[in-house]
Amino acid sequence: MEFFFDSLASAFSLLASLDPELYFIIYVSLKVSLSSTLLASMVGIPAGFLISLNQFPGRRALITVLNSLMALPTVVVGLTVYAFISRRGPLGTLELLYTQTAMVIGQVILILPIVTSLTIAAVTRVDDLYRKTAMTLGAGTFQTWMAIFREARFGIVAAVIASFGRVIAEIGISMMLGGNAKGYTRTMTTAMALEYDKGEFVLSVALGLVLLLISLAVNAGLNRIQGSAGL
Amino acid sequence: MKLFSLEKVTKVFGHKKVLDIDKLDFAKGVTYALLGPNGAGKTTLLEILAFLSFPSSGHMRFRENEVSFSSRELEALRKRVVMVHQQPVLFSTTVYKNVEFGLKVRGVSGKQRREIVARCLETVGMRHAAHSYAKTLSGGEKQRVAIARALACSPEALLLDEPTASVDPENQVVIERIIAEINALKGISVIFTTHDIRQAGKAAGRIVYLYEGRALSSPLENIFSAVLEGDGTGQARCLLKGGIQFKVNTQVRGEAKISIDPRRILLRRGERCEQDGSIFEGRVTGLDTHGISADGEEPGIRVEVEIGVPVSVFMEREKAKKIGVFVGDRVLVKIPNEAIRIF
Repeated sequence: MEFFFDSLASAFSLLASLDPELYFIIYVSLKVSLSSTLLASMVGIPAGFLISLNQFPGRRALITVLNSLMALPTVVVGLTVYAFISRRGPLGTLELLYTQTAMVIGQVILILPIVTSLTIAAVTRVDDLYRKTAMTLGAGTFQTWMAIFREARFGIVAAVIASFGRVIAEIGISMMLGGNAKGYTRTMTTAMALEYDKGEFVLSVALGLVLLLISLAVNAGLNRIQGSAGL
Repeated sequence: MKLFSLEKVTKVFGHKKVLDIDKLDFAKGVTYALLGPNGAGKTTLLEILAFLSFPSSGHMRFRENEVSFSSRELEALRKRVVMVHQQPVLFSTTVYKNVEFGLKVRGVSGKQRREIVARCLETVGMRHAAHSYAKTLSGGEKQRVAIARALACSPEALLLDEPTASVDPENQVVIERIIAEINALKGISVIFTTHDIRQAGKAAGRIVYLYEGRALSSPLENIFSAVLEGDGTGQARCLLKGGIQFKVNTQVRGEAKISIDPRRILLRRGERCEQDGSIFEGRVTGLDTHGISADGEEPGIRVEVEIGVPVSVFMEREKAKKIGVFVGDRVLVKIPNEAIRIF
């Protein structure tokens, strides 16, 4: 137990000393996770919106598949993307393996079903009367969609935050596609795994604290949003 | 001039025909009440008139022009007719921005928008709440803001679905006054649905009666589910819930709906002595001295009597005065054969 508290005390002093290696790892983690969340949202939110508001053959099957993909294991995504971008893969010539871009690609694939499914859920929850109200007040198709979007906005923001929470804490994709290269693709989770392997706990605990703090901030943000939506 | 004309208009949901209008016209500048019980097709008809839904078959004309129901045409027509739903939803923003919505989608300038929003909120007495968050309002206030939001669009026709059904009595009075003002001062045609015959008579210039999707020439009141059994004499024994039964001249047997014309029901005092199966003892439960007949024509007195089932009786003022009817009185009610309609 003493060992744990010693590590914790050292972790706090490491954070307080503004250790450059530690803060660079946090920077890479945030950069990669925010990029993948942004890209997945740019595709997933409009896709979810279109799927919710339009009827087409196979719609229900698509929603079922998307819901199932929400539980996609990170190692499966890592392995699949690896097969495409490794030297022997069809996209090997792009030399993406062990880059931040590769990590972003993997993470986008991981959370795209989450953003899309949760957007569908948020839009579907909006009472059909909002659509009729916008229409009877003279709104065209696009204006009606925007009115529905505004009503679903809290649910959609929650979808984005949930997706960010998923990627900031994942390790499989970062490890398999990023390679944990120091000063380049090392993220909080991969660094923690490495330090654990080395039997060094100080950096691990410090990163763990930061990760917990980010999770706390994300959840507090989500709570606040749901609070303002009256949920 | 006719605002709406409907001919052979039907609306079918699944296998159920919820609307079956043979011919129905609405004149411009008049306030209409669509009167009928729940499930009569009032909201369905209103949504068709609001161009939010299209008929399964039939023809509809708006200001003498045939409506083709193409999406582009509907979008243009919706800018001229606005509907307010029974429990209207307000967008999750301020009252001001709600009322401004229709003006924004019409591309009205900011300065004009401010003036129109203020004027419309003033009309419904909600100007003080302009910057309140819409979701914090009470049911009646929401209804008033929804009417202001519709008015801001300066529609040619305002369609209101049960405007006072889910609001408190104080707001009911305010909303009825607003309906009258909209029509009288702005000349906007108003069509509202209601199941309350008093409200229809009070607030509407004309009443259209709807029952099971059909527009009826004469109003139906005192509607009951009945079972008709043959008694070997060519007449039928008509059984209502509540143990009420009487004889009817009809060949119809089995389950049916009947209506009893309140103008033909006779009311008198005294003891029931004769063996007349069409006379029932009852107790007066309500009186409306400003009553009106369902077609909105005759003023008189409405007497609500409980005879095992609640029946509404419509009487001339003089007759009621002569009999002297008060709430709580025991009276005799005669339901003559000619008052009963089976369908």
